[in-house]
Amino acid sequence: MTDKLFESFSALDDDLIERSFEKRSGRRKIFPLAALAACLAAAFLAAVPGMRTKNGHASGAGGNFFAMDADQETDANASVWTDGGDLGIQAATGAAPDAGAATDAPGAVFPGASSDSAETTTNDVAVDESAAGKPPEGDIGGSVPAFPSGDGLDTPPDTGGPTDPMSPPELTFNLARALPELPSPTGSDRSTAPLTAKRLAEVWSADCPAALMEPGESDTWDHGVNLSGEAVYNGGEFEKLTLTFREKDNPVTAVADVTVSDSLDPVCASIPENADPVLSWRGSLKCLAYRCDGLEDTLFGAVFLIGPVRWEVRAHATPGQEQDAQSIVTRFCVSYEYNAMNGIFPDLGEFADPES
Amino acid sequence: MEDRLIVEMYKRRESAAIGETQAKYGGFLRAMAERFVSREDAEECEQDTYLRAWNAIPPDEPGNLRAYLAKIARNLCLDRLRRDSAQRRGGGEAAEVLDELQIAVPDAFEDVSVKDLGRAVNDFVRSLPRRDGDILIRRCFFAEPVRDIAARYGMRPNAVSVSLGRSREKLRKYLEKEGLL
Repeated sequence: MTDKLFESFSALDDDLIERSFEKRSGRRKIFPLAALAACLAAAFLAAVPGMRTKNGHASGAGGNFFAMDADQETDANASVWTDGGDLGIQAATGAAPDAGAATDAPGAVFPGASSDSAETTTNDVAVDESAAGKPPEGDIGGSVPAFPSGDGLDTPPDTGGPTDPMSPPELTFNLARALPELPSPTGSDRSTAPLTAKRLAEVWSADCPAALMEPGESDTWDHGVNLSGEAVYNGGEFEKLTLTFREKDNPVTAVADVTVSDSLDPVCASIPENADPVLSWRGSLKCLAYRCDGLEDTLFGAVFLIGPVRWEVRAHATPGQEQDAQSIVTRFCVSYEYNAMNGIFPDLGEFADPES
Repeated sequence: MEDRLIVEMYKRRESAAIGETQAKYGGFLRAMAERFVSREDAEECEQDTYLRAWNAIPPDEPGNLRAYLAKIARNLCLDRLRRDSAQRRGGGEAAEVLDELQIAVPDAFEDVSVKDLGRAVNDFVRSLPRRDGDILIRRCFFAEPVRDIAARYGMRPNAVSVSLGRSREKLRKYLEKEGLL
């Protein structure tokens, strides 16, 4: 019986009990349009090597592009960066990271996209096809309202006291300020059109079979010849969560162990030594894993960068029924993108070429 | 009326203090008690809370009257549950909270006093991020339904469930670390 433990809650200090009466908002979310605007802004920034912004930065040549999860919870400053053509938003506590740190520490990336068709929610990044080929409109010269009102969340009360460590940190996208400084896309040296919202939607493909996992259960998922995953759930957290990439006709080539840690920070994945095949693309293989704790679910993912293709496997973990909070619903999703800038459309295996 | 003034009335042994207390916190105490026990018992627990407060103040001088009364009411409810263990299974939010804790921390704590356990729980809650701690208190102290907690903090019920699940797991690990499990 746990009655004694239940009883022991009566010993809570008065101040703890009293503070729980304060109606505080949940962590505010990145506004979908703000996220989309940031992505679009970053796409333009990506065309300008070494472009720095006030709080963030972007470096490297333009290239791959992926959307941010509008439901993720990130702290402090956010930077948009590119890494050899890949683009992400880096969340950092305190000072904005420098460009080198961003490009050298992919584990700090919060990738993920909500534009996949299989699980559209109200928080997903809305893809406006009418915006294709256009820069984001609106308050480009001003600050982007990262947390506009109207999301149904209360504003935390101003107690006048010391800074509450749990207060939602401001997440600022000052990239929009840099937009006016950017050259016109048509005046750049790009030979192809810039990535657009429409293109963003096209490059994502999703396959999200769902499974209800009870404590002690495991689930495996295999997406054809390319990607697979395995999850073992103990009722509280995943004991094991691995996402695997293997090239067609080859044994396992890269495994991202996304086993959960207590940290809410993204987890840097390592590529085990035993996943060290001699492959032509080995030199360009990059792998990273991450975890984002959202309000509704927890997102685990791994990104495999193979040449011009960026594969991503995501595992969404959503609590089961409220009456049985120990269960969890997992969905494995796979997506890919390719370097649209140079027109390379690699062999995508079982995936159809989105341009075809 | 301000809590401070109500407490002063108790100290001056003015019986009107009970009426003021009831006017201000009667609904809150009743609603809380009904999550633990039946409606009839909840009414009795509420009344007993006033009596207990009357007998305890002074010498007690609660700095936070609402939390003070809530603790009294909660303990009275638990006493009643203990006397009628069958009622515990009769439904109610408290029974669900008990089940949740039992699943997450399946230990009888036979060799641990409630006092020691309470101290550990107190420290644990303080170690949690503010929001998670508050959610755990609303659930485990007040036995508040998940949907009510979600409404209180402007969250989705699923997010509250996730927070609670993680906090219970952390609590188990914390108690293990403290040698109480």
